Amino acid sequence: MGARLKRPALALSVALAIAIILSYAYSAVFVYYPMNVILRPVDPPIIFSPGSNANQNDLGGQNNPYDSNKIDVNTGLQGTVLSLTLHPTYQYNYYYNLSLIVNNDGKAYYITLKVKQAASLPPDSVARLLVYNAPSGGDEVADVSLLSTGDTATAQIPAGGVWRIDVYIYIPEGNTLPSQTSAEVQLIYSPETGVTPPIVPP
Amino acid sequence: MKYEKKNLFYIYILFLTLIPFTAYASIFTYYPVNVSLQPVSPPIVLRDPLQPGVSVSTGPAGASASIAYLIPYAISLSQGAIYSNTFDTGLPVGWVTYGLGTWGSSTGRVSGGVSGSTKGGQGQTDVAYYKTSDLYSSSYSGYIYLAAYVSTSNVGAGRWAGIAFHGTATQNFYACLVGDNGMLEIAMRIYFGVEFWTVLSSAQAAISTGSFYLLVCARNPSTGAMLAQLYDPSTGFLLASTSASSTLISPTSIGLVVRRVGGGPGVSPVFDELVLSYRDPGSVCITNIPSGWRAELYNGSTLIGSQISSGPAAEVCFQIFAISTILRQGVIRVYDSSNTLRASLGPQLVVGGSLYRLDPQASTARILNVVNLDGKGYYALLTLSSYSYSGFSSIQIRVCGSTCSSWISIPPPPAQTTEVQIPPGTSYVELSQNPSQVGAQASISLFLNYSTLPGQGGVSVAYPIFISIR
Repeated sequence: MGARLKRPALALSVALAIAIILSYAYSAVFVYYPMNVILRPVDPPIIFSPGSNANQNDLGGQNNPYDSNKIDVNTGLQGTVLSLTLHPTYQYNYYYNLSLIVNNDGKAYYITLKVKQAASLPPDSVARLLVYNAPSGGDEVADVSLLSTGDTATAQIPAGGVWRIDVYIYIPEGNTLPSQTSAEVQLIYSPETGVTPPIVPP
Repeated sequence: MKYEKKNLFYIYILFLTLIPFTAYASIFTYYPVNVSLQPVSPPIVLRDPLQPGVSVSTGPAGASASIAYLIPYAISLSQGAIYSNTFDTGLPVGWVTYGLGTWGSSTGRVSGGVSGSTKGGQGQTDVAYYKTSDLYSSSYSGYIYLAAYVSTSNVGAGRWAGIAFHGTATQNFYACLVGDNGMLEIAMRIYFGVEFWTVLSSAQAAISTGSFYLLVCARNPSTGAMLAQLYDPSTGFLLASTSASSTLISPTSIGLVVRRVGGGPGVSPVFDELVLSYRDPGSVCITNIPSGWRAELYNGSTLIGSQISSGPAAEVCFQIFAISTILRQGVIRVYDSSNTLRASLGPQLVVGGSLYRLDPQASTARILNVVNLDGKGYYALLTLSSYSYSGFSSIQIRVCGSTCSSWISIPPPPAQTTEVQIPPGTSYVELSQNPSQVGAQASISLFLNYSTLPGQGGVSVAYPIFISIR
């Protein structure tokens, strides 16, 4: 009677073991679909180029011997980076035509400026990066404070368009001037509008 | 069933068409932009030029300025006395005498005297008069005032001393006299080989011998109206006054008169500080004083009076005869409503009956220094921001460096100057103003713009400047 009861249990255990073995065999099945990603880099359709006041004399300088400060404008080797070093003083400072945004493509792009890291100036100061839709004169298409993070509204640069970058700075008297402060900004462009750019780098 | 397959085909084509657009919208390119600010101390600072009438308050860094400019004012004689003489050396040169008495000097005054026996009851008259030329027109249509301090030794009956409007070519005159039992009289003397006196009017005056009184005699040459007044200088009170009218004589000169009728003691008066004027000889007036401004009159360091103007271009007057109708060390000072001295005249001879006038003066002044502390030149201009003004013919402002710019005009145009180079060192802002009336004032806000390149190229900096002109 006892032997009769042990046989079915053994059979069930063997069946369960076989089922588990069979299930491992199923997960080892892989199916491969072909997928091809082709990268064909192009020259940047939008580039920075130095403006008419790039690398001209700025306020102040070093003595013995005298060496004037410069309005330092660096647009990188391919014009895909813009670095500005400015030497403002108290009251109202206006840097005109520091750099140009040039659309070399045959189609329009949509441009947004995003301040990722704000500069720091004394209270009540103003520092704005202004973009106009012409190398001279023109209408303002972007205005972003360098003293707070945020985005500008998106504006369309037409095919072959040339935009101008100015900087306006106001520092009220009665405050100590910082030796240096920086703002990190991104110029983001896209051929299409209506989609919020993702944050890059992630 | 066949129709459904066709629909599925179109949906599939549409899906394929939308795929590229979806791909475009997902393309974003990111360019880094770095803006580095390295503020520097102001390479150009504003400074007080330390010029008279200019007060400058600059900002903590010298990058702004508030300027107060005081318009220069001047006091000038608008209408002086016609004639005056202090009698310090006795009877002046050029005076003519006739009659029976004698004239001399007495401690800086003119003394006259008539004494001795009577002459046929016609009396004795001693006259000294000034006849070098006609002193005024006989057709003048207002009062002409003659005044002198008179002290007499005898005010009894038949004794007179006084001053006269005298005919130049004749011995006829109108006289204002004191005496004859303490009377103030207006009398007329006609001479045809013998003299005839007529008392035209009189008033009782309580005068005593040995005291000086201010005797004022006024006559309108056109109408013949005359007025005699007697003041006590020690109190300033009017002691007596009388009036008359006559046109029989047409005097154009002046004189001193001593007269005695009847025997007995003679009369020896003393005269001092003779003034002939178109206005009250007992006062000095200053006109064109702005409302709230204060005028002061001094004799040396002694303040005679201080008055605040109540009108926009008012006249203020100071009674001076208690001191003297001729101030040897007269000083006039005018202060504005902030108690700032704006104009001063003297010390000099100030004669009663004179009218002085306060007037703003045109000027050109350096109102602000612009100091370039840097080792390179800058390019500067001025730009008008806002303004208000009243009472000016013109206001102009410019900046001067290597050369001077063109002017900003108030009111514009132009509202901006031309650009000039600001070399290392001191340049300046210049104001030129021409007021047209007293109380002229202006408030002007402008910017000093300077740049590192010509044409306001490179970086352009703007310093606010406020100018108050009053």
